[in-house]
Amino acid sequence: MDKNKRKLDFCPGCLWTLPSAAMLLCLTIAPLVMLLLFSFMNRNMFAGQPWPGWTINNLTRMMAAPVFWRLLGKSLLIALLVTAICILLAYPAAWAIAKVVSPKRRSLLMMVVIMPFFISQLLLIYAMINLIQSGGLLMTMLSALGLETRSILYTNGATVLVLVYEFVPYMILCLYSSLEAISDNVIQASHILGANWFKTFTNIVFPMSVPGLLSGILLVFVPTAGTFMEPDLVGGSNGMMVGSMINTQYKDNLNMGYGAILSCVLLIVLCIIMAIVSYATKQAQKRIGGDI
Amino acid sequence: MKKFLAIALSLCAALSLLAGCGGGQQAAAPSGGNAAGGDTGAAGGDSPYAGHTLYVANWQGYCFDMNYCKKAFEDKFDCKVEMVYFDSYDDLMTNLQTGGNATIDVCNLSQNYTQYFHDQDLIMTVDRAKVPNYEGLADAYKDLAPYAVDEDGNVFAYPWCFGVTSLCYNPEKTGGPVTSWSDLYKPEYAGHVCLFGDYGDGMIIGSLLSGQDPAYPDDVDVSKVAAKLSELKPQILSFWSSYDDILIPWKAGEFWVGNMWSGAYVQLLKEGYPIEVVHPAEGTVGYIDCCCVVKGTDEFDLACEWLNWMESYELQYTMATSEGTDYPPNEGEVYMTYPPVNEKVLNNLTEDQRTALYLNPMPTKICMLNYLTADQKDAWVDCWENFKASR
Repeated sequence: MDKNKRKLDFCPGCLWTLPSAAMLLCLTIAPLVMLLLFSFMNRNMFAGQPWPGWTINNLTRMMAAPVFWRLLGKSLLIALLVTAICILLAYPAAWAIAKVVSPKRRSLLMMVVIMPFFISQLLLIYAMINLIQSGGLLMTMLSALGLETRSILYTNGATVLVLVYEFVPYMILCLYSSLEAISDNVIQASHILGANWFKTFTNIVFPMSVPGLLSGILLVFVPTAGTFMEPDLVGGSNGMMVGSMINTQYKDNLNMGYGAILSCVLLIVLCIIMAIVSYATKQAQKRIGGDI
Repeated sequence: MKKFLAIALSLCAALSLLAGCGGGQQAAAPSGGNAAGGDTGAAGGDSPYAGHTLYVANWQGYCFDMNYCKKAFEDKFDCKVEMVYFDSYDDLMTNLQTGGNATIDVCNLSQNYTQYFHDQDLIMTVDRAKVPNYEGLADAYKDLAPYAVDEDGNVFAYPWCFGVTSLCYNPEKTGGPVTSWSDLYKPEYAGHVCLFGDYGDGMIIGSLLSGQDPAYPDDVDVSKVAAKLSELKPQILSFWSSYDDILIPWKAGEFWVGNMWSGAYVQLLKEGYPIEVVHPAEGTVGYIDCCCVVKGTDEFDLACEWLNWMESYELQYTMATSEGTDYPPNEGEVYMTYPPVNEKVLNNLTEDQRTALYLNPMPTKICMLNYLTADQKDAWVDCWENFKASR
């Protein structure tokens, strides 16, 4: 009887979750399953035509392609670097917005952080190109200061710079939401109990900001590792990343099967890395600040 | 604050979703303007196509949607033309395979994709009698087997435009003329060479550099191409894929020499930048764009009229020169010019018009990307990707 009652109580709530569950199923789970299936498909599949057949050729071709593994390693390194720079830049900014500035100015600063989201990503890249190209504002200023230097445009450095420029707002927003939730009383109590700023940071602030930090890493690291537009536009002759290779298989080679297996491997590697990062961060959180 | 953040983030997410939902089909501008005469069947108020709509798939902003082309056709046949834009041939193929053939009647294809689409049964052969202007094409664009004509001599792709992606250089930077693809290896050009990032053009240049004829993919030794390309890597500044990718480094003085679309060359020339074009004697990369009728169309006759219109003297002259039309461009729009395939139009072009079309001097040998089997395509793409990814 109780069991039936519990079921009846539960049903209306379930109904509310149906749209989001259907959306999750259609837009996330189904495409992932399709991606996995297509990885073992012979080239392309078309509606109204028979299944092109199963094959492991995509897998063997990928295993034998050193260029894929090299580009994967390079993409992960660039993503790691971009994420690290974003954390270093975003932490103080998020702290300042959450704890230092007045609530009035906080809204204004948040607006400034969010502003790039209202501008097309492509426009942001072109804005940066105009800034760092030879004869651009930055290079002209440097040369006016007597610092004759070659533009970093068309180098991997430019790719990192543009990616940081694009993704640092995500990190700031994630860290801000965690830092803002830390009560001022907790920090004050830490000081009263004799902890200096460093101790307060390692024992209070950092452990409590870990959820936001993890979200930030997820939002920066994953898209950065798979990107192809930025390296293609500003990376120059050595800028290619793994995303470009996957894009070519879909767009130019019309080989959906091979593109799918490359995407799958990238996805799996990213999932493993994110699991490791999550585990390591939580361990660090426990070690330096206890389980909060 | 949290509320503000949540609202702002939701707004951003909603805007991104809306942005992603940009339609493939865009509404055509309402018909207007004067009907133009010419060598196509003109229709008055009693047109058999009154009330009909023709769906035409093409790249956005690429000739078909210009007033002199689309609007003039609408007025001539008292019909409506709806453009369906695609971003890649993969997009178009997926569209047609997933039911797009129920709505798209005509599509524009480059010669290297026509056979592929024909083999997939997506486009159909059209009797030459339905396209009388086909006879007016220059010989080089007629009976283009295997790109446009099947083994039985039936035409499935009707050429309307051609072009070359040739070698351009900045004479002030290079200090002398560039005459051949092999000049790209000159040590003084190191770090100032830009190439089109597309595998097709790249592999054709690689084949020419390694002394092979890209017209016969069966005979191309990919390893020789790879070896020759690898020597070129230190010379490369970047791989371009859009007009901006070309114009920005050229204007900044970083791009000295490399292949270039004709449109970018003309723009740089018009803006007064030092630029010279050369069509290397060993061959230059070219393409032919064709109009194809989609299999299953329910507007076959009107589709044939479109094919005929695209090959007419009237349209060919206007698209090559931006002249001779009663249809001015929309505000803020500038008519681009496209190399024609109609023999009479080609013969009537002035020296300046030829220059603007990248045809002065005329290329002596044009190499086009031929039909590649799946394995060949994989090998070519892999070779080019390895080159791009190498250090």
